[in-house]
Amino acid sequence: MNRKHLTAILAVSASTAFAFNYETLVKNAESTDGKAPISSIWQEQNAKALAESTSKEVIAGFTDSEASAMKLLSAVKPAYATDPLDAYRIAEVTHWVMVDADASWYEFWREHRGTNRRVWTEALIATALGASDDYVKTFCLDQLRWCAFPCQTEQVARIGASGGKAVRDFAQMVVRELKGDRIGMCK
Amino acid sequence: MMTRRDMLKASTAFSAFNIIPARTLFGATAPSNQLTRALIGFGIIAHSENHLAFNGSRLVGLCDPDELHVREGISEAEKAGWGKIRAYKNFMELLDDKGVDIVHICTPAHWHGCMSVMAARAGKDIWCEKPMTRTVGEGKRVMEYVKTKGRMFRLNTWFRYQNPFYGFGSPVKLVRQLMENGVLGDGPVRCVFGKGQGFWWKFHHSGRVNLKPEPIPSTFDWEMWLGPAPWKPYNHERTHFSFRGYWDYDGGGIGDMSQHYLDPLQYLLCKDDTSPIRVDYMGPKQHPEVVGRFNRITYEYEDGTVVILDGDESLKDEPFITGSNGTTLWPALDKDGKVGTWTNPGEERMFRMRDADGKPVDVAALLNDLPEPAPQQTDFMDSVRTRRRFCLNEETGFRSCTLANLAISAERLGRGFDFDPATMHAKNDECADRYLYQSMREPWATEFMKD
Repeated sequence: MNRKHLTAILAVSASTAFAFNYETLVKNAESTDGKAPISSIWQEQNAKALAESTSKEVIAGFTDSEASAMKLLSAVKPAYATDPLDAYRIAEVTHWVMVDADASWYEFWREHRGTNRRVWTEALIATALGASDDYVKTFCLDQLRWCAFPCQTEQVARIGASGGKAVRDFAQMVVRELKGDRIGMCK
Repeated sequence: MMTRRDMLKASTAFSAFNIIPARTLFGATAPSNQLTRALIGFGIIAHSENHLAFNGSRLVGLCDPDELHVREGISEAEKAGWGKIRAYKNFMELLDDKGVDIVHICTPAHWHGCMSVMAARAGKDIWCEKPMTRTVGEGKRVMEYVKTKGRMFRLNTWFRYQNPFYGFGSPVKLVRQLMENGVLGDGPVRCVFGKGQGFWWKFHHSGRVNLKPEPIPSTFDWEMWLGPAPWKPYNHERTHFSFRGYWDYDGGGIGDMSQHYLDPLQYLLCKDDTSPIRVDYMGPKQHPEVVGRFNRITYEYEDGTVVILDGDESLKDEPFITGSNGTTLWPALDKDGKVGTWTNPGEERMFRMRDADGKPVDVAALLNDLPEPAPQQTDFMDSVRTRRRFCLNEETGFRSCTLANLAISAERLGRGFDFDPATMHAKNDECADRYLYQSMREPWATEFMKD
């Protein structure tokens, strides 16, 4: 971060303080750095595609089979290069496979949420183990931490062993989380 | 010839007449009486007058994983009149220094919890930037540990006890005065944080997707900067001022600024000892790594009180507070007759009030007849000296930070969830609870949790 960058960001903040709207935000952001899109602007500009790509039907389809899950996860690219739409979809699948708090037992059984979650988590594990790039592995770990089963700790540990230090550290963290050892939880 | 004995007698005599306590000579600002303080992190926020000026304490040192920041900090401290202060190798060396009384944690949010606990363990009193912690779990641990260790803790926000409340124009103490005296009715209130409270920061600190990895500058210790957060490829956008745009380190505008708004809210609602039972989210799905925008966050408390963070200005014409009896409170108008986003201290204007029929109420006259809220402990240096807890301490800070943590978790999930204010866990919602309670990289997880 250099002073010029900071000044530009502060200028955006100041200019939008009293005239906030998206058009102003977009205009100012484009004038400061058009290289990597700002997420909130990307969401605005791609709102329709984002909503359509993350509808319940589309998301559920990605966990119908291992093949569909693996196909989506093959879109994960090294070092932040994943297409945003794919990244949003992946995050949404992760959330969807977790049991909805309002779901009745019947809904759970009928919608095979448990099966969907198993398909998805195993696809994440397979993608991580099969990847040669450490960022792809950590991307998958970043999803497994929210949706993996506690019984998958051994597989998560294997992901850790398959990569460099970043992967090992992250996998260790996720294993701890899956075992319920989280900051602030009662011992 | 004067003997040694004579000299000693003479010097003692001199001393007897001339021992003037430093406090008398210099007052509380005598170096020996001043509390000492050190800064962990010298990024943007550390430059502000809150950090370099700090009445009542003496700045003795700082550290930062960015050498350029350290050099800048040493130079600015000298210009500010502190002389040559110490540059610690890292924050652990700073915490080991017995000469430091107070530690000011000015790091990104992902470090706040761990450093607070480590500072308490080292016997320091703590002044921590907001948000207090990145997750509810971290906040809970900090609250319990700081209390156990008997340390004084404060958060770096102040609207619950001083200054007009952003665009509202008046101090929140006056609203609390109305609440405590039942002026807004006996039932729950509705509170909308929209345009009038200066809620313009909400979309700032949105990160960038598709960053490209960059070489790590030789002056920057990326590993130390990351600390408890997962290791990811370096890009300057993920550090310093713009780190807030990435879930690994903070939660966008909500992470950065919401405690400035939500802490005084908890105070004025008389809810310092509780949390919402539900948080709801309206807005687009979120990127798994990068903070985006939201439309609305809604909190509901057990007594039916509703608080809304209005993200798309769809509620901009609503009052700030609607009482259960229909009374409404509105932001003060500025000198141009408009609702502003900020009010300078000393330029307070009285907020507006209307009765259930919409008729204006003379607020000043009304307040004149009402008992005032209990005074608060508002001098942290006095807290450190007398060990009387500061008003914005580890407990009140934890409660108001929980609102930020809940909002960020709901935003990431793209939906709402129920919350139990007694256990401080999501209710029947495993995924939500995983967001609220996380682990961290070693060795920091161990440092955080050990006795």
